[in-house]
Amino acid sequence: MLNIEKKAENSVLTVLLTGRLDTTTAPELEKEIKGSLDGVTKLVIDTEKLEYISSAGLRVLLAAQKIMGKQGSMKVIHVSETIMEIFDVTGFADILTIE
Amino acid sequence: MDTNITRQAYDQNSQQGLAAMKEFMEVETQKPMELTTELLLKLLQDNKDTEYGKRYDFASIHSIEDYQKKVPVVVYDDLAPYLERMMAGEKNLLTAYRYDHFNETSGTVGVPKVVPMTDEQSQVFAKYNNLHMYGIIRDKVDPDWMNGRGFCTSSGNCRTLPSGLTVGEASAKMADYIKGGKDAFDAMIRTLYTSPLEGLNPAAGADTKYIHTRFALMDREVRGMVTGFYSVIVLFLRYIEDNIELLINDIEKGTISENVDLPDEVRESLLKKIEPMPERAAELREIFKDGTDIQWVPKVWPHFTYITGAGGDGFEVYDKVIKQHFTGEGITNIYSGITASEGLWSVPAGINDFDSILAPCAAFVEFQPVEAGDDFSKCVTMDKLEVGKIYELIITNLSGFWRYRMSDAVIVTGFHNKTPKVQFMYRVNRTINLAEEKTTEKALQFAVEKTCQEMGIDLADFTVYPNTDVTPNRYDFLIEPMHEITKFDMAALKESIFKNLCEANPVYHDCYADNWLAKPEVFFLQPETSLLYRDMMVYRGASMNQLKPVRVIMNEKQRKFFLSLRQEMEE
Repeated sequence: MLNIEKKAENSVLTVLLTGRLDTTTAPELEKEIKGSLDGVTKLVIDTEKLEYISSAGLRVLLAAQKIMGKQGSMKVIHVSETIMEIFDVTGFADILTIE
Repeated sequence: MDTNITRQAYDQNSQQGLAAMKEFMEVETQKPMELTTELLLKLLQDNKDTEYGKRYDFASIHSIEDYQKKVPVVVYDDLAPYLERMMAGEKNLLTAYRYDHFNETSGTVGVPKVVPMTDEQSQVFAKYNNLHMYGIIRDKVDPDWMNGRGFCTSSGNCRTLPSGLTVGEASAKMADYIKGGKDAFDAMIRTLYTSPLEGLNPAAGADTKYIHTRFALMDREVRGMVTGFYSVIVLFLRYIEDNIELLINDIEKGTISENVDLPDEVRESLLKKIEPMPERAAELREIFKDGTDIQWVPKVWPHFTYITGAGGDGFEVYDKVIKQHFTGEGITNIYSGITASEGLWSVPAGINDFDSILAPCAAFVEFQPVEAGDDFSKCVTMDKLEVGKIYELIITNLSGFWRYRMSDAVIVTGFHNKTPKVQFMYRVNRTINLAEEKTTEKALQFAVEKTCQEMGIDLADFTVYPNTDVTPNRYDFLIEPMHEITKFDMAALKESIFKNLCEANPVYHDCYADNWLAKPEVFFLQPETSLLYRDMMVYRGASMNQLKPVRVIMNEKQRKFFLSLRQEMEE
């Protein structure tokens, strides 16, 4: 189960994720992000309440990073120790801007 | 696209191909030793005044035996100093033939390598790759295949060196050889394939997956798919699934979403080649209205009939995935022969057949029995090959590689007329030896595929980690299913892998019995892990069309990546 909460302010879109970003929920997040990026120059993914991220979820983040690399920037905030460990070992820590 | 023009073009091309294919199958395969000896002696004669030819006295060589005595077996590092000078513009070093381009290899088995693309070598590729393939299609596939274009996944680029020579993928040079340049080339390829030049020779930063899939989806009349590796097909079909809404919206409106990475000039140029297609978009929407978990290829392209590319050679897993999840049965496959940037050694034996037939006029090939190691006195020619035996290829190509150790091992499966048929087995230096038992990638693949079949697992991909952190050492199998598996009888799975690995490599069982190796461990990977790995490699600049699957984990980065993405299992 994943809850996606979006907050748009000017050209900044913040997406708060709660729950599990896995094979089942990744397509939903992908749809939400891709449908909301028009005019967005700064994308913030808040993972404070994200409990789990799978390969499918990482693919969505990578796709978002690719888009934002072109039209602005993306950062991932409030990364828990568990999620950070995944970012570290998969090499995502070198790709994403993590705060 | 006017299908009459496509039909005419395919008709002409495949007519020529059919003649070339028949000449090969009926004439060349009857006298392989005569032809390949003739080729070798001609190569020696033509190149006797090169620096390499003088060094090894090519002028005095008049037989295969002389050649084997006087010219050493080499590896890339032996040729590298010559190739560096050649790239700087020096001529007549390894070859006397004309070239203005160097093919760059994928670097699958090490750092990228360069191979001069001589005119003679490119003729070999044209005849035995392209023409032969279309000859087989014409001979074996329903003639309706000519009524529509192919969905091509190729993309290639090259760079110009200070010497004026180019290095990169050969396809990037083709427009230079066509009268009329890029526009004429674009028109020509779009007669045969759905993709425009912007997809085949992409500008830096262009999303080639979007270009290829967008133009293919626009065309309902696609008849087949032409690719380098079958793994790339999976990548493209998955891309369509992941981006279907965006693609359909763009097709409907005749636009290109701002979310697609394209340099401005490429976007502008592509927009001139598309127009709104609301009817096609509606048709696609209907097909995908309940999602993508259907065999959708025959619905999107109702006359889809063939796929060509490397489907054997370690890519069999993807061949199955394509059938099970995208196309269903009934598609004709023409699996490429054994080919590489260094040259071409064999051609497809027919349709839906992983065997390929050695091509005696395409290269002079010697065969080193794998058990002979580096004792090259054991090297034999194709008339001495034994069915069922495995040999490493030592090649002499038309690009100036003389007795070059390819590190590819093949098994002889039979004969077509007097010419051996072979199948690729494994890369010699990628055999894994936790206990000197020589486990090949093919053996690992056999064990995984048979286990998945026995245990009803829908296999998407797999990789293996040779685990030396435990005593005795063991293989850790990481199996990626198509759909998430969180509960499974892992003990039974482990036993099945063990049994099948012993069947694939009996020496493994001996090593286990002697306590040199432990039973393998098995884990499930999360779905899409291999796609994620490829996405990341491409993000970091790797060429999508040259990426091969990670069958054996070779370094710490890969180990951490794959092991951290194992599926959490319920008790």
